Amino acid sequence: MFAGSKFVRSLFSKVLLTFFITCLLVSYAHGAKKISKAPNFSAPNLDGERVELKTLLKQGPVLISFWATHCKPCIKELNQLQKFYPDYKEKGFEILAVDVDGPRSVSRVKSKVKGLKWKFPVVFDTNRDIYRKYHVLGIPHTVLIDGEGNIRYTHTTYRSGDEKIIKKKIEKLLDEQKEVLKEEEGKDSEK
Amino acid sequence: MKSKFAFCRLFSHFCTRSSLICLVLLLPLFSIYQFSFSFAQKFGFGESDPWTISASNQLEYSLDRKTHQDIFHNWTDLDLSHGIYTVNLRYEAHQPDDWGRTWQKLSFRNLQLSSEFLEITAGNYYVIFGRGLILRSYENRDLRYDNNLDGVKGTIDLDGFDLTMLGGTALGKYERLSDPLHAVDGKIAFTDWMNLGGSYLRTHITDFGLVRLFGGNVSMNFPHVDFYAEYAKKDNPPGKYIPKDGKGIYLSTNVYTAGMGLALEYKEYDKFDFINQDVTFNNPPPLAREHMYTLLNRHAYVLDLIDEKGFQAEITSSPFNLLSLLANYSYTTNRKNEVLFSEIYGELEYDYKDMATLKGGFSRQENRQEVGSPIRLAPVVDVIYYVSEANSINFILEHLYTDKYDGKLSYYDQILSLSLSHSPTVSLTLTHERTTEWKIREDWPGKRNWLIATLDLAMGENHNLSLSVGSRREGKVCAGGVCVDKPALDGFEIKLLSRF
Repeated sequence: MFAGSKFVRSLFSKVLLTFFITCLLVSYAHGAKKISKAPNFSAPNLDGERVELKTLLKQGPVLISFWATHCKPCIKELNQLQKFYPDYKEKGFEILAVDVDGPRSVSRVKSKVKGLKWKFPVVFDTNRDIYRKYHVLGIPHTVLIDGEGNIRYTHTTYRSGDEKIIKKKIEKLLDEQKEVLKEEEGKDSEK
Repeated sequence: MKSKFAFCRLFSHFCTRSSLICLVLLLPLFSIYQFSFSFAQKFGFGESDPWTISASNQLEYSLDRKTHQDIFHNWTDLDLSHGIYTVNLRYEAHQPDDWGRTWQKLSFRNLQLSSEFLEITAGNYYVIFGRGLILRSYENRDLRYDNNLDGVKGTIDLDGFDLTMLGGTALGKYERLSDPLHAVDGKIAFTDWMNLGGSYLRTHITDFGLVRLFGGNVSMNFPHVDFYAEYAKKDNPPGKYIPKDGKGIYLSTNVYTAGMGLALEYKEYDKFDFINQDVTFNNPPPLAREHMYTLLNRHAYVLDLIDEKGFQAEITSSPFNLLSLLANYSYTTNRKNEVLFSEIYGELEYDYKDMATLKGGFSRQENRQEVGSPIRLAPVVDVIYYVSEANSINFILEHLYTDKYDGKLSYYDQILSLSLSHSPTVSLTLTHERTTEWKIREDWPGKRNWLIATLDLAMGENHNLSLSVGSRREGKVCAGGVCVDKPALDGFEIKLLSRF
């Protein structure tokens, strides 16, 4: 009886495990096709003014980067993003750095940002409400959102060279946006 | 053979114990995910009013090769939204948790109603008032800390006016407290450059009495300067372990120009601990630097809300495009002006022609909270060499010399870390730690060398797998781009982070 139940349990576990791994691999293969809506949020920026994601998306795509002052790879990534930010900003792209420092270090964020000459907006998420909304499980975590509010790319951790992939994704989004604008202009001129 | 055995144990652990429930919960999500679903399309809801579902899973498993102790932790978070409604659920399984108990349950659930100006949460929630002097309810999964509140929270967010009202019971280390707390927090934009805020909290602690906290804060923003001040007072009866009444003061200012920022902070906490059994409700800033390197965080300063005051100054500067500098000084005493902790830290980073990044840092810590009031000196060298656009090598040397005043009682800890990365998918990190501490304590023989290999894999956009084999000392660890607090390990560890 015991041996039988052990066998069934073992078989069941193997079937489940196989299914789990298969699902994981299939979801990996389909990862690029995933489209889901980005949850809206508003948070105070360095000057205490509220910044709302919905408002930023009206201008074009937004890259959200979750970071903290004690996170070395986060700062490396944002330093890299700053290098190409001014060029893309002109085309309607925005970077929103979401700082998840707790009360321990939140006071030093502003001087850090100014010292590092970051030009993109930074908002505070002191008790990690946005962090939880986006199911962030570790920082740095980046989320690329198109102008329609769809999440088009997510990435956790930072390795040197990741910024080039992000750059390509942004360029692709901006090209898409350009195409849409052209189509809309074409329709308008037809009318 | 041993590793094969361990692998089987892992699989059987996955599937034969109650963690199965987590997987069963996950499987439908995985299946749904395959089709890049939108509930709106599937169930015929309009585009303007779609259902959205999002989830994440964090799985950690470790097996100690000597003790054969295996530890399994799993957190599954699921959010379901439709229009103004959101349901947040979390299912946790720990076998065992950090206190030796095995349990699994729906640990977090709430219903949220959100409109542009109003948000109401019924169930579990987190909240912070100001800088945490009066109330901070939060989760730190790496530290296994969670003091979420269970009750009702309402937030009104109008232009220039925020108000939060709440009531609920807090989660303790072992169980939820029975004493409810009620609180209100508000903030008003007095002018374009000034905000005023205030908070009030009360709770009746069984066998102790009524505890009330109230306080106010002001924040001011000018060009190149900002200022924040918070004052809070605690009103409570005298207790065996909790002194009567107390107060907390926190001030901070930032002065900055392009390329340079200076942050100054001041604290004063007098009989200000606010606890009930094992739950701490307030979490004010300790004003001690949280470092990016393992050894520099190894002997972190422990906040003492009963009696301490101090300040911290930090300057960050990028005088040239490729060079950045950081200097920090923190100093804490008790109210009799006896030094408890001080640290001076400096850091310099230089980017060399996109070929390499060179970083050097130095810390001097003096911690009188510890036996012997040790002085610690810690130089750090951190070099990244960019082999190609996608490949890089990172070498880190951390050395921590501890002088316990008596020359005979000196020792050092040292970490060497070599990391090979291929963006964006994989990195392999070898970390060796050595200490000479065991030599000075005959009664405490122990390990003096730890070596661990960690392979980090990004599986698509949504899954991150981390495999570690070897031994690791307890404490904060940074590998593959993420920093976390980890217990000691001598075996192997798997960590899988997934988002759906």
